[in-house]
Amino acid sequence: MLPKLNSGSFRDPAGHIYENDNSIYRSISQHGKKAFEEIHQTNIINDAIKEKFIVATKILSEDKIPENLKNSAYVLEHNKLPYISYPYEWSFYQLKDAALHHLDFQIYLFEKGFTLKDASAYNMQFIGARPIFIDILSIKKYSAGEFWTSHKQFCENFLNPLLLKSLLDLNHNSWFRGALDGIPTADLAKLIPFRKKLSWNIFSQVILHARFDRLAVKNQEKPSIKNKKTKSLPKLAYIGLLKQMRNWIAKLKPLNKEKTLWADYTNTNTYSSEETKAKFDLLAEFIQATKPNKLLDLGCNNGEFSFAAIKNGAQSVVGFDFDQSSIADAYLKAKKHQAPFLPLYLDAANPSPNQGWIQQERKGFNERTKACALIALAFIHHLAIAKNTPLEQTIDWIISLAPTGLIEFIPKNDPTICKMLRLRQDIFIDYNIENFENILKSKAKIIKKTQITKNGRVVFWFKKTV
Amino acid sequence: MLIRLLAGTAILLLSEASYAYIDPGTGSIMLQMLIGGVTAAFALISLQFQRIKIFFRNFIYKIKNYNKKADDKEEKTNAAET
Repeated sequence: MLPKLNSGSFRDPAGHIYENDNSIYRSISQHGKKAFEEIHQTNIINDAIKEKFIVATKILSEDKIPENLKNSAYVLEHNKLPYISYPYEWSFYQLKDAALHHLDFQIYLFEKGFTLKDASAYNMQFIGARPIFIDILSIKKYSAGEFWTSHKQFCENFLNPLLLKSLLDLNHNSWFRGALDGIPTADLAKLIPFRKKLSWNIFSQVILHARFDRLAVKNQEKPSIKNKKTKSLPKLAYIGLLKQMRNWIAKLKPLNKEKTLWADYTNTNTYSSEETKAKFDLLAEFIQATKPNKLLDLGCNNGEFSFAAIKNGAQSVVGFDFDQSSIADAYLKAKKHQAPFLPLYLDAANPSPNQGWIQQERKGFNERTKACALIALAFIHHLAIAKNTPLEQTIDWIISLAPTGLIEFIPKNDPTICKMLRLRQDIFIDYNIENFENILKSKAKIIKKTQITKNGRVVFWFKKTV
Repeated sequence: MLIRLLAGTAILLLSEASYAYIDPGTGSIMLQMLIGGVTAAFALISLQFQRIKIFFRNFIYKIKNYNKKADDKEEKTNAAET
C-alpha cells in the first residue's frame, strides 16, 4: 500500500511525513535538500540516534523509495512508534520529561554547532516511559548571533503548562486540548499570584515576556528606533538561557501532591486479595494465549494490571485513565522499571477528537487507538452508570478498539456502584449481567466467563468473529 | 524607556530575519535581548568565580603540601638522628 500524507505534516515546506500500516516515511523536498545535506554530512543525525535523542532513522536507497515519493530529494524511514500521543494526554511528569529531553537535545546540538528550528511538544513522543524526539528536519546549523527562535513556542508548549500545575495546581490537559499551540504566556501571566511574581524566573519568563509581547503588538506600526548594536544574541547568552531553563524545569513539582480518589485505589478497592488473585490469573492466561504486541488497558489506574500483562508477555501496553494522579503514578513506576508501558489521560466519555487544521491535524482517540488486545477491568460502570452512556454503545465502543479482550462486568450491588447511586435515582434498567452478556454475545464470541467476586463481578473474555 | 527601545529594535530585527516558518515572537526576542545579557553576565561571573575558586584551592593545596613536605622532612631527620 502506498504511504499517505500525514495530515498534521504541513507546517515545514522542507519535508513531509507519509505513512502506511507498517512504515513511516519522511520526504525531503528540493526546498529542504541543501539544509538536510548540511546536517547529514556531519553525522549529527546518527550520533543523536545513538545517544537516544531521536527516533531511529535511515535514508532509503532509490529502489526502496515508494512510487509516490520518487520526486523527493531524499526519503527517510523512521522506526514506527508503538503509539502516537499528544501533550494534552500526558501527565505533568511526562510533559516535564519531554521538556527536559527537548532542552537536553537542544544543548547537545548547540555544543556541536546546531540548533532546533522549533519547540513543538508534538515533536516529542514516548516509547514506554522514554521521551524521544521525532522531527529530524527541525535540526539546523547554528549561525552566530541568532536568537533562540523557538523560545516563545517552548514557553507555550512546555513551560507554561508545567507552571499551571506547579504554581496553581491546575492540570494543563483541557486547556492544551482547546488551544493546540499551548498555553499563551499573556494568559498565564494574568493568573500568577503576586507573591510568585517575585521569583526571577517567573518574573522574567512569564511576566516580562507577556509585557514584551503586549508592547510588541502596540509598537507594531512604528519601527522607528534604530539600534543595530543589539541585533544578535551572544553564544554564551544562548546556551545560558537554555541551561537556565533546564535547571528551572528540572526543579518544578506539582504544587499539591495530595492523592486524589484513585491514587490509592489498589489499597482501598473493594475486593479481597483472593479475588484479586483470580483476576491476575485470568489476565496471565489471556496474555499468554494472545501474546499481544500492543495491549490497551482502559481504566489502567496506576498500572497494576498493565505491569502484570508485561510480565506475562505483552510487548507494550498503552494505558488510559481519567485520574491524573493515577496516570502520574503509573508513569513514574514505568519510568523507574523502564517498562514498555505508556499511561495516558483519557476521559472516555469525551476522548480526544480530530482537531486542528481541517480537523485532521491532530487525530482523535479512535483513529489512533487500535491494538491487538485490550483489557477493560472495573471500567464499564464508570461509563454506563457514572456517565449514563447506553450499555450497547459502550460495549460497541470498547470492542471496536481490539479484536480480543477482557471486559469486567460490575453488578449493581457492588459497593462502587452503590456509592455512585447513593444520591441518584437508579434509571439503569438494562444494566444487568444477562443483558450485558447478550449484547456482547451478539457482537463477539465469548471465550471464557469467569466470576471474580462473590457479589457477582464477572470477567468476559471476548473474541470478535469478523 | 529601555523596554520601548528594545521593542522598537526587535520589530526592526524581525522584519529582516523572518525566514523561519514559525513566528519567533517579537516579545520573546526582546526578552532574550534583555535577560540574555544578564544570563551571559552571570555565566561569565560564575566562570571567573570558578577560576578564582580553583586558584585559591590550588594555592591552599600547595601551602598544605609544602607544610606536609616540611613536616615529613623534619620527621625523617628526627628519625635518622634517633
